[in-house]
Amino acid sequence: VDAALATHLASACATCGRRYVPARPRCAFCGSAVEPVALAARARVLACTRVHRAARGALMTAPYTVAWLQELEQDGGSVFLALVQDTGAPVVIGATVALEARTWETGGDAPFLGVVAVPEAG
Amino acid sequence: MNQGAHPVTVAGVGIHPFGRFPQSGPEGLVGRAVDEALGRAGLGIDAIQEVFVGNALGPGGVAARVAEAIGAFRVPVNRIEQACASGSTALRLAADLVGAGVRDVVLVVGVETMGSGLLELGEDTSYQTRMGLTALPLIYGLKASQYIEACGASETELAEVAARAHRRAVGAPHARFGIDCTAEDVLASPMIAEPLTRLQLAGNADGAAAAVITRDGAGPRLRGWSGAMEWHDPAEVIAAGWDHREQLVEFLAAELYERTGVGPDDIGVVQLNDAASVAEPLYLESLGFAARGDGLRRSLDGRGGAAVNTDGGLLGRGHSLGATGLAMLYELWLQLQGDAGSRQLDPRPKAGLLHSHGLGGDNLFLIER
Repeated sequence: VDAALATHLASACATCGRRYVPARPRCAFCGSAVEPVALAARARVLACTRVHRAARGALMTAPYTVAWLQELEQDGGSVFLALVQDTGAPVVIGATVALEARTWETGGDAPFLGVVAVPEAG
Repeated sequence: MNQGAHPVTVAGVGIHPFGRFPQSGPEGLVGRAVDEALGRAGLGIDAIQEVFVGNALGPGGVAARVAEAIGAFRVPVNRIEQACASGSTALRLAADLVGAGVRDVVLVVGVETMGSGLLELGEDTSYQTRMGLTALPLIYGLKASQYIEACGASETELAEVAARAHRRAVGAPHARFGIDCTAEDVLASPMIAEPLTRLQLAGNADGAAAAVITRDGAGPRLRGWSGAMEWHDPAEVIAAGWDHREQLVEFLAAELYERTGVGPDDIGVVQLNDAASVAEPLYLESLGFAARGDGLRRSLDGRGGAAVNTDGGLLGRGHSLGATGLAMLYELWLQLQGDAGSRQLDPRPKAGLLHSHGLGGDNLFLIER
């Protein structure tokens, strides 16, 4: 996914600077307008779970892993929930992951764009 | 001290036992709960001035169907939807009206027909749903992973919390999941969201519960209540480090205790929103019944202080979105009135705390006799 498309995945408040992943229409804290920003390259795992029953409407089938992440940004990144790519390696609290934009074909006019966390080796 | 200008009384409560009733719509469940509540209050349906119906999953027009089923005519009937907190939000609005002197007698009904499988709040095409982030058990799986990491808890200890909840429900005729089970049984049930197995997550139940709220009547009083939507202050979360705290509940509890002058040591029984095993220690901490990081020890120790979820709570009673908050009030009311049968606490508690959590918000109530 090219960098321009990936900016649809994150936003930052034009007034207070708070970041959001996925992008929000307004700032949840102060209600101001937001602008698209680049997704951080990496994030830290704050919590994780492996889901064995998927909810209706999910693009993936269970089991799959999700994690609470915090973007590694100099001024403090967004805390958000994301799908974690299965690499066979355990996902542990405190580990760092790479953030990537991915697309899924859904049969609609345009592919669905989402964030995936990829565990880093070691 | 009253929250509004007038004392608010819970004059009567009633329940339709939680279970699976696939042939019953909401209108088929409410009658038994309402009749029991009106009977305890010594009132007829014609005394009711307004009705609030807590219901999350029912069809459009469900309030009218409930009103017709219970014979509530020529009065306002309102449906309240706030997912798992639908019933408690209906109760809060009724308490507000009575406390303000707008109404003298209000009926609150919570009802839900849930179906089976995962709890889902309807199909949508949101980013979160598409990305598999909305299966509700995963939120508790995440919290459990945090709690285990932060507090040194074990998976077996969390399973024991669930086993005790199921065993407490054995003595509650209105509970769906009274199971005489062990932590090993809990761990052996199917995995849903690691580390949580099926018996560590509240199962769906169809059910109804009701309460008659009156101005300055006979019966236990609602001394105070507090409710708010979840707030997210990313800066604060980041500054504190995202951890296992339930910040909104901490905020609401502190507000309620300050306003009423009543604290955790004064409360003999609590109903808290244990939608998963890990929720009990988390909420014991955020409600002030245990120090931070000590909730699990408090859950497993179980001696002294407030008794928790004497009818099994959401895990043991089952979860029936719109009815759950009123079922919590039902059990507290019975305990305060000395009418809880084999579950009755000795000494009979003077004060109880109700904590209800729904998607986006929480409600707390302090009830005293």
